[in-house]
Amino acid sequence: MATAEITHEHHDHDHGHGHDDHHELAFWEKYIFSQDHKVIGIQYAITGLAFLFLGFCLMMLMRWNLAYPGTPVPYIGKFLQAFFNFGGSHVFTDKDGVPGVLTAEGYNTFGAMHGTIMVFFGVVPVAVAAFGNFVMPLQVGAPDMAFPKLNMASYWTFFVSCVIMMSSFFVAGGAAKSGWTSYAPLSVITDNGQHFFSGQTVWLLGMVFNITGSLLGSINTIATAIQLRAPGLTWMRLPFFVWTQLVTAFLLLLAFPPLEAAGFMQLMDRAFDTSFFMPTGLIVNGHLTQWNGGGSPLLWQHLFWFLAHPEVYVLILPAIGMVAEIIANNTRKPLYGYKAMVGGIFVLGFLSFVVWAHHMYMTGMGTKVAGFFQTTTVMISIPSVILVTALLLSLWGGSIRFTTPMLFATAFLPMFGIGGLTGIPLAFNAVDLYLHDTYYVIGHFHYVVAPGTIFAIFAGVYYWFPKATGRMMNDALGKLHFWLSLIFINGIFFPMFIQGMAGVHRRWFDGGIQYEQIITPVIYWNKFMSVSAFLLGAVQFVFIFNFFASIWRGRKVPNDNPWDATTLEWDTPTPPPHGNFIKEIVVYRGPYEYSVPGADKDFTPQSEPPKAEKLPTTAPIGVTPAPAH
Amino acid sequence: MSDHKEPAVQTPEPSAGDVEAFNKHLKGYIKIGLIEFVFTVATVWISFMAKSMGTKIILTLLSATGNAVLVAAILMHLKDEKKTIWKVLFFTGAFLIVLFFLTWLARSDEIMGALHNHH
Amino acid sequence: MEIPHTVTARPDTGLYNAKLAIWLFLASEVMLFGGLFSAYVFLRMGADDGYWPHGLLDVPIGTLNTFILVSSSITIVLAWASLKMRQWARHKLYLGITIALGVLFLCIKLGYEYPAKFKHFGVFIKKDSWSKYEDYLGNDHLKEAGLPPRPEISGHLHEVEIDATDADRPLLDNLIKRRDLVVLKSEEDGKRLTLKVNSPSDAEALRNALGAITNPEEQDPAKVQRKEPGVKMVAFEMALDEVNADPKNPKFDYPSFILRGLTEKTATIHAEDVDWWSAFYPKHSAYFAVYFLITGLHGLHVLGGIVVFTYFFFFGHKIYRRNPEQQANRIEVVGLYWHFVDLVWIFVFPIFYLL
Repeated sequence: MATAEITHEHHDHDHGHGHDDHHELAFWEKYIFSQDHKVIGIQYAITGLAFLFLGFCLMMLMRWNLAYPGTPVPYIGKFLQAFFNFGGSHVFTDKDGVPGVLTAEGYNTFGAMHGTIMVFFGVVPVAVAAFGNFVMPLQVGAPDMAFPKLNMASYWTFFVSCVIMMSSFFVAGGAAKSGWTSYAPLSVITDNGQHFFSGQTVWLLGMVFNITGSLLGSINTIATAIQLRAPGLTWMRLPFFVWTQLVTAFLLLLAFPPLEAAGFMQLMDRAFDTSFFMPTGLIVNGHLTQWNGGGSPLLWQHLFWFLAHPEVYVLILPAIGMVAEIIANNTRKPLYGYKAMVGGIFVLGFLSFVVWAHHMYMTGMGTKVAGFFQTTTVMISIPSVILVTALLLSLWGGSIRFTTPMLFATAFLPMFGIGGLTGIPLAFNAVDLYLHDTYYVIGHFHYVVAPGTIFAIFAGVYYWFPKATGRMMNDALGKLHFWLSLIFINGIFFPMFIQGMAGVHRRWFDGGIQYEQIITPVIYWNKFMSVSAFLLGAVQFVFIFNFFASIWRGRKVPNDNPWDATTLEWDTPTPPPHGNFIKEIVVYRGPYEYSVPGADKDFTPQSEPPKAEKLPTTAPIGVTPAPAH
Repeated sequence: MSDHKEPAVQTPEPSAGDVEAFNKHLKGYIKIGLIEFVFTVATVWISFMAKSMGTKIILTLLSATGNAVLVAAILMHLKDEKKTIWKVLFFTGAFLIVLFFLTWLARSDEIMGALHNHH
Repeated sequence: MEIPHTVTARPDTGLYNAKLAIWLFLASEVMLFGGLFSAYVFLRMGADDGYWPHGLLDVPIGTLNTFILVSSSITIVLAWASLKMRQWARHKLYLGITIALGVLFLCIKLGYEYPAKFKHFGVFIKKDSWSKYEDYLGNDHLKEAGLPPRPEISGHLHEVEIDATDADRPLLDNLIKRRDLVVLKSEEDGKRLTLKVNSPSDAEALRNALGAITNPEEQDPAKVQRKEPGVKMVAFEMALDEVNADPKNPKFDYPSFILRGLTEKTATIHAEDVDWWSAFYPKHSAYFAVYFLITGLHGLHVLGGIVVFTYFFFFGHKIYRRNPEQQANRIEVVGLYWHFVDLVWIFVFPIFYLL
């Protein structure tokens, strides 16, 4: 019988020279250069969360300048100036002898680095790498990822990229300041010439390492999901989170390389005076530049957005996956429309590759190109709607438990809804002509990522924390964290739609004071949004405190499955040991068998043998019933 | 749980019949190599014979593609693979075509000649 | 704890883990080189008539390199097959040949092709001055033939005439001595120099030479001001390529199989007529930029393959003795990578050398 044969082979024939667990590992082997997916997942989580915090701080400094342009940052202005002006850059300056005033150059630096850090060093490492690494192998019933050594290499490559990227703040001229989008020719000429290791060059090098780490990680994810599924775990029995991780990995695998190629080209333009992106006859400060020309700034935009659009789906898909898991668990019923959701994310993944130029409507494209991209962009809203609708319908008729993860997961739905719906006007280039590069766009994408993905990340942390540590996070603090975050995050981002429609531009370092005559009716929102941002930052300390305090003082979990969940990761000891499962795992049913009529409890774990067999808890080899395909 | 003491030989030692089959395969691979040499020469020859740039591009690339198909299907044993690999490659190919098509479209469909660099 | 399917295939996919992984990696590599090729298409379509060169690469050498890589693809399959048949000696032989062929490919590229390009020099003439250099450009003839114009004069740079009025003299003299340049003529009290140069990089160094300090009392090195531009190029004397020595000859209208060579004929080009000058470096033109980037990246991939094969050549026996099927799988997996590198070259060669 197929399954018996697989397990049989598994024992005798199949050891590739994997990890030798006969001897005790040294500390540095166990916790630093670990090959265990759970340790690596936690490494990614800590690094990613730290960067999310850093990116948030950069944003708060920017928001200070937007609300109170030209005024020194209070209390810490002196230290900020000493710190950031280190490389001889002019991030902060004095005003009337008081240090700590953010300059335009400084604002641009923080803006570029905030975007880069949040996307590539914050959200992706946490949502994709941390949760993917920790949870996914457990959910497919595997002992680890398919390539543990490669997994370790991915993390450390990522770590190197973090070091490189952080070092860019301290090189001569300061960090990159041409937007996270690094459009040429500005990105090529900025800080060019004096020193080789200037901010933008270091940014490019950091991105090359980051992309490499990402590629290695996505290969591992796909191989694990395809090859290491436990016996009986057919494709349609996979938890939805695994599906989202699989599609995300494919997006990363296929969309990142053109950006890597473009990164090499921009590096060559900066270091070797090539003209991949430099147009002919460019005049800067009254002089012709040293580039021959013949290149195209548009080429950079195409190659950049070819990645960056699928990248935003990379940001949202794992979040939807996590929300789906938590909703199913906390409504005590199966997900509505599982098959449609799976089909939806495949269509979404495919379409995400053909919409990128909706970021480029203002570049002088012809009607055919614009028409193509408008069509595909509107089309891509369909699978997104299917996903949100299915999740909403999953709530209907459920016995909803508003645990802290469930609060975040439920709030995700309307927040992502707002984010998605506000994207629709932007899909049409006639409307985009007006809204492009305004705060409307910033509001749109932040709604999707901040009260969207980041809330889903919080949900995931509260949900899987007990499995990783054996303790629950404090529920009261969690609910406080949730409600205050929800209020303040909307306080930051909702007024952006108002400002954007009034015409307030992005990347105005002084909040638009110079254009006050045009935007007077809306400029006062700056203070409101900034105060909301500071308060939101303060609230996160509740989470940080809860997180660390619970590791040592949290309420211990009553059993291995505190949420009474059905998926395989709850079938392990808590926390799971090296190798994850202590018994043979065979899957007998789908992932969300909650409230099955006639069952004795309101959930039936995937690996629990069917009642009729009256089998012991471990399924002996050779007696496994044929699983349905 | 794992036995590291004695390496388990996965497949049985090859028999004389296997070795014979191998030698046949060997000849087969060498034949493929020679065909590829012919394709290479043909590619060069076509490029110098073609009249217009358009035909030159199409025919030369076709010849190169023929060469590539041999490498992919036979040397990389793609023709023996099951569906999984083909699916991965199909998606990759689709996105690649999209990348090229839209590059071409972007270049050829422009407003007011905004895209050309003038010397 | 063992990871399943590291050596034997999983029945429903027919793959062992590493094979799936390498195909996934190759998919990402397809997108990487695809992105580069699409950049090529983009840049070539955007180039003005005449500004995308043809016939500058050595086709016979490129064809030879193609044969080399194709052969190495065959030998690596034979190496893998030998391993599956447990014939270690034969395997090592084929593996060794594969490595040697890879090294040969790189030697030809890095030892001959790239240096030959770096020694070559090109000057783009301003459109308004094309008529002045008609004898070297032959644009009237090309216009009649309905062909794109020729804006560039290429060959080997022999002498440059510079205006060193604003130059930092001690530094300039040092430069001349260091690079072994010969001062052929010195006019206007040393302000106009004609120098014999050994390669275009000498001209680059001269162009970038520093100007004289205008505030010698300044202590702080960051605040030192210098005269700009330092050295001004006035004229170039260069030996011409065949196509510029006899531009109206119809045989030069199209590229030829054998790379066209240098002639003895020389020409003097005045800097005021020059739009842009450069050796055949990446910065010379979009064509060379994308050529060097793609072939350079491809070369790095070849090197990577060679490194891994060399490791297996010397250390593979240990794993072979422990688990021969696993070693066969490893060779197969790296072999797939090597075939992909061959595949890329199969397209690089016609696109850059022939089209």
